[in-house]
Formats: sequence, C-alpha cells, structure tokens
Amino acid sequence: MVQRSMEKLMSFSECGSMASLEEVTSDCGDQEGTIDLIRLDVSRTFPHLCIFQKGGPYHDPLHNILGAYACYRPDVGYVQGMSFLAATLLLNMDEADAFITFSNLLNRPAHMAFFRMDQPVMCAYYKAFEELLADNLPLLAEHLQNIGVTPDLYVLDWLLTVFARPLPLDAAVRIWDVYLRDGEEFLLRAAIGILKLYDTVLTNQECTATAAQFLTRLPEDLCAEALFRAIASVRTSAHKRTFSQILQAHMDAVATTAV
Amino acid sequence: MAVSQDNRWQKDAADQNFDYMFKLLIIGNSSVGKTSFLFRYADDSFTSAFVSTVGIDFKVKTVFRNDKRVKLQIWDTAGQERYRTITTAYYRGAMGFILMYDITNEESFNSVQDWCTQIKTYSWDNAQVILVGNKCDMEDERVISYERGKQLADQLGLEFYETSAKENINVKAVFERLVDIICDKMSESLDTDPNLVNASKSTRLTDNPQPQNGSCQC
Repeated sequence: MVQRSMEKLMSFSECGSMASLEEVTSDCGDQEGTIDLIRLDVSRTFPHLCIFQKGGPYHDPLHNILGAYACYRPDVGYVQGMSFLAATLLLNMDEADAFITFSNLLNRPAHMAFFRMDQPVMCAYYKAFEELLADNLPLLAEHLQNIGVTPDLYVLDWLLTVFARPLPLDAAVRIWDVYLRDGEEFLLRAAIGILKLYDTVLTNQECTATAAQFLTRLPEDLCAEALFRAIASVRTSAHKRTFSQILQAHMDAVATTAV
Repeated sequence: MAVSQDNRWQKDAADQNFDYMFKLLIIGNSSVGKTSFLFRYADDSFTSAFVSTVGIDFKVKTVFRNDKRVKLQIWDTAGQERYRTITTAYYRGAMGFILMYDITNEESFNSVQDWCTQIKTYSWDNAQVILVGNKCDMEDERVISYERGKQLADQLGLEFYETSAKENINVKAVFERLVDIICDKMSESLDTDPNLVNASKSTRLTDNPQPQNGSCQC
C-alpha cells in the first residue's frame, strides 16, 4: 500500500530520485528512532476510537502514511502531532489519497514551519494571533497576558493537529472543512473562536497552569454549534489590514529582529 | 519560610489558597510514561490509552507540606527531540524536575545524561532534580537494573526512585520528596543568606518566573 502511495505520489510530484522504500526506511530509521516513535504514537492516536491501535483496521494504514512521509521528506521527518492529521484524513479517504492530502497539508506554510519548529516563523504566527485576539477580545487578551498564558502554550497543539487532538472529533472535522476551503487564516479564527466560547471561564482563571490546562484539554462536551457561532463573529482583519498583511508585518518584524 | 513575602512569584494576589507555588517539569524521552505518571498523581487514574503529548500538558495540584499549602504547577512536556528547542524555554523558573526513563527501554536510559545537561543549561542552578525509572511493574521486560539506575543517579548527584504509574508505586513518594527537597533548599538559601528574605535584588530563589514568552526568541 505504501508502495502504491509512493507510486501515486511520484506521478504527482517531480521528485524522481526516490530510492526504494526499504533503503530509505533504514536511512530515516536512524533519525532518533523515527520508526519506533511512529509505532508508539500510532496507538496513542485517538485511542478511544479503538481503530488505530494494534490489531485495529486503521493501524497499518496510519503507520504506513507516517513512515512513507518520513521517507519522502527526511528533512521534516516524523514529528509528534502528525499522527492526528493523518488519522483524521484516514477517517475520510483511502490510504493513498490520505497520504497525498497529508503531504500537501504539511506543505502549507504554517504547518511546515511548526513541524520544523522554525521558531521565527512560529513567533510571527503567535504575534499575529495575539494581535487578532487583542482586537477581538481585548479584556481576555490582557487577562491571559497578565497570568502568563501566552499562545505558545496552547496554540502549538491546536495548529499542529488542526484541532483534532484538543477538540471533540465532530467539532474538529467541521473546522477541517472550513480550513481546507479558506486556508490557514481560519485556523487562527477558530482558535480565537474557542477563546471567545470560553471567555468567562478563562477570565476567572488566575493561575497560568490551570488556564493552560483548560486550553490544552478542552471540555469534552464542547458544542460544535456554539463554537461555530462564536467563530462566526471573529474578525481576522484589524485596523483595515487583512490577515495576510498582519501576518506579513509580523514576519518582517521577526526577520528584522533576527538580523 | 519568609519567602512567601515576596509576592511577585509566591503568591498570586487573587488566589489566596496556597502559601507557595512550585513549578515542576516532567521530562524524558517519548513514551517513558510522563503523562501517565502525572495523571496517576493528579487524578489517581491510569489508562493505557493515553494520547501522545503535543507541546505541553499541564496539571495543578495543591498539597500540604509542613503545615503549608503548596500549589504545584506541573508541566508535562513532549518527549520527542524535535520539541526540545521549544520545551527548554519552559525550564526557566522551574524549581523541580522529574527526569524520567523507562526501565524497559535502554535508549531512554541512555538519554538521561543529555536531559541532565539540558537542565543544567536552561534552568536555574538551584532547581532540584529526581531521576525516575518508570514502568517497574514490567519486570519481565526490564533491561535497566535498579543498580544501574541508582549508579547513574549517584554519578549525576540526583535522588533516585523506580516507579510504576500503572501499579501506583512510588508516584506520590516522588512528588513528595521533590517538594521536600525544594523546601529544604529554600530554607537553606534563606539561612545562609538572610538578605534573601527582603531582597528583591536578584537572588536565585526570588527569580521571577516571568510569563513565558521564552519560545519566542524575537
């Protein structure tokens, strides 16, 4: 199956110099035990669904996709969090398509930067997020800043897994739909929507870890309808600047600082 | 312990329900059982169906120690090497570390030295560390003997426990011991340097764990 994915992939991209799967696997196996880590993580992906675990119907496909990607992009490799993306795709399409979609998804700028832990770019996204948060929910933004809950504590997980890990699956897949249509601007919009939905809860938190704990383990009874109502009222432009302009400004600022 | 007078970090003005607040980190290779360990301690629960940690997880627990209410902010970090550039930013301000390996996994044990170096590099000098060999219920699959663990701990100057989050062995003991040695260190520093009590000037102990913007090095 992986072979098929690879072949299919070859016909879609121009990376012609791909070695045989076995050779590459052994190559990337050296990188901090990529293959071992994938094996461990596959069974730690949506464990409550009981289909990605050993013996479950999606165990091998998920393993294959992640392994194939680590070979296809050894420069990125396998990074924890990826298994949730691949698993969500597998719930919606067959293995080969899931692999292609997964690879394309990771080529989007935010994901490529976050999975490679490209800190300046991550920082620009965090800053853009903070700016939009301050514009949409000024009081909450100030409160979170006062108690030391910075976006890096929770946004990382949300973005990397496109909410598949922190949110109930029904809410997460709705976000995926709009994200695939609208692009990464929607990721930040959805993130602010979550904060808006829990504005009161968060405003009452006075401790960094308690608030961060809440945000990294959102309530299981989160109502997708309510979340989307909250998201609908989120603005992703501020002071007559579009999202991409805001993001670009932070990218430029970060680049200047780095120099 | 008069350190609580320094309300910049000890006491949250809006939350009077504790005397001290300690930030603790659990670190170690992926899949050694950090999250399970934390959940056993904080919620007294165990499931083999844990989700891998992406970034950081948090738990808060308040314990009583020497008639003081100590609020523990426990940060549970993703173990994968790729995440280290991010997670080491959170070492700052941590008063204690639980450095964990898996007794059934040689590689996790071999990485202990590395993790220790990371602590020395990124945390403050007074941070207390306990070495923990987890999964000691899996005797059949053990590859790291108790003696090897103990020996390494001695070499690194750390206290050592073998634990099982699954069977609830020594989990509470590790946290209690860590809290104790942090408290001891605190009073020791206060004894040796009385200036510490009212000094706002820069002592290690009163170092303010700033709201973390550490991961943004911009």
